[in-house]
Amino acid sequence: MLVKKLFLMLLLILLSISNSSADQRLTFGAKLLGAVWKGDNGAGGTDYESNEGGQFGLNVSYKIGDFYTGLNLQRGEYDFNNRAPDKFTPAGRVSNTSVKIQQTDVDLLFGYYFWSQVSLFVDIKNVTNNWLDDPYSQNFLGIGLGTSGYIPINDRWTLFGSFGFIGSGEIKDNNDVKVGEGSSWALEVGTIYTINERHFVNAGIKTRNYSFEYLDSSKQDYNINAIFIGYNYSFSL
Amino acid sequence: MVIDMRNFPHKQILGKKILSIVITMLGFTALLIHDVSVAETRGITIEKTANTQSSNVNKGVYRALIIGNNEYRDEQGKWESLSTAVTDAREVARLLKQQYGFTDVILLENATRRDVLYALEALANRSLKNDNVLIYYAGHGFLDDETNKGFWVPVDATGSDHTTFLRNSTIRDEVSSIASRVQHTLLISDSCFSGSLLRTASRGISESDYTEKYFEKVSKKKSVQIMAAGGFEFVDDDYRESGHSPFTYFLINELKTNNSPMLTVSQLSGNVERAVANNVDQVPESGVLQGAGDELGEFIFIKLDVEIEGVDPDRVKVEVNVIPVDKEKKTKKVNRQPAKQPKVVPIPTL
Repeated sequence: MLVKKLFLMLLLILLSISNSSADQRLTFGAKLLGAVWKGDNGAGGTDYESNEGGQFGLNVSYKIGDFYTGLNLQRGEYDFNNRAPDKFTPAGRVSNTSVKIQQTDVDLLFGYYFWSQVSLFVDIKNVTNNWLDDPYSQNFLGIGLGTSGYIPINDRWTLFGSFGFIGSGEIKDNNDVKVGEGSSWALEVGTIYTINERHFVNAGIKTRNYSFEYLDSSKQDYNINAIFIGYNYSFSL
Repeated sequence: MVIDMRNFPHKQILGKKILSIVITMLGFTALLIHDVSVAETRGITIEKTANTQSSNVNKGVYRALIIGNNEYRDEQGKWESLSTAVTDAREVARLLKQQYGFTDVILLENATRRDVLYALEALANRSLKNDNVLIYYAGHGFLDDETNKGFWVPVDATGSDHTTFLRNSTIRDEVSSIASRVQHTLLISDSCFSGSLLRTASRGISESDYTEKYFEKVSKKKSVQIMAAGGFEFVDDDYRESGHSPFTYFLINELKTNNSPMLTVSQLSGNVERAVANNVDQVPESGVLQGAGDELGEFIFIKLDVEIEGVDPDRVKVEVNVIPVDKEKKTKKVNRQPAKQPKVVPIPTL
């Protein structure tokens, strides 16, 4: 029902915009993140930190006037030795030691520049953690709110940043059974270098935090801290 | 396994609250988009106090982007420096500000390709629905004989490398983008081959038809007009050591000597074309920008210090209506640092 309402509102926005003669721009991007996944399995568990990890992402965004929408797909692996994130199944906690976890992020977002350099956005986010040692995966789905902005430094360089949070999302296992709920926030700062009218590169740091509470009241928190470089190709429509 | 959902009632309520906030935000977004599109701002009204006639032909701001390129940096030596383009640009800018009520005038001297594109984009960003926008270019022009395509040549152009020029189609796109936002747009191009920018169109009006009603009528219709120094030909740089090109010399002359409160581009271009053609081997052209939404309206110059026959100059009042600053702030974003605005910011994600 709520998804239908959201869809209807989005349709109304797009209809409003289609009547205007605002500039339109399509942007394709790629992003490479080097990251460390560090967390705590809560009471009765251990803390852990990945040895190496990273993700590669592709994204596309469409901007019309001050409104923008985008889709981001990101996937990568994190390698844990000795201590690793525990799995939480409907039957309870399953401890882990050495394991590789594949993480896949999908973001569908809609934003609007309410001010010339600051926007507010809504992000429908889906994160899937797939333990590669056995067929167990965990899926977190939530709707987040955020703000982003940029500060031009000169003709070539621009600083940008964003902050957002998901107040409450649902965690399901690979059998689509709910195992808990969680919240998340993310902070990102970086810089863009304009090569020319169509080509842009960016780099920065990003930290994401997840706090999960499972059905047996166990808690699990983790941060993924990353540095990233990215490239964008953009053109007017 | 049965899951006991009673463990999470407060979180379910929190989730619904957040979704309600999201829906409300999206609703406000839709409303704001509408508000922006109907915003209005400053305007000029001429009131002839002697006969109490009043004319309210335009409600928008008069904006101008003036570009003058003298100092070409071409190491290959194809583009030699000009002597009058910057002086032309400065004088046009001064006239527009001092005598024709242009309140937003950006003067670009010796502009690179990037400078021009950024300035055009910034001009588009800050222009509003009822505005009158004038773009003036003085500098080298180029016509590719094989493709018959015309270009503006910025100061960082290199030899015959077309990619360092500003193609006519790019200029058309940028001007069309501005024209799509405002009521009246006028492009004045004082360069060689500038006639390749335009399509000729005549308003077919005789001098006696320029009545009060006519001005009101054409000001309400959208216009996207062009005045070009020459067709497909070379144009002169310095006219009789005046410090101006022939085209701009007569353009300035017409604007200075004009004594009508309102002067349409058709009137202005007709006078300039005749004067230039009578004095030098060059035929300026005028017309409309094809496909940019011209509705046979007219860009109207409003002179601030007109003399009206039989009326004491002290009794001629030209009123500039300025909406208070706080009201203007609400209308639309104005980018005060246009050259620094990035075209792309990476999409934010959580």
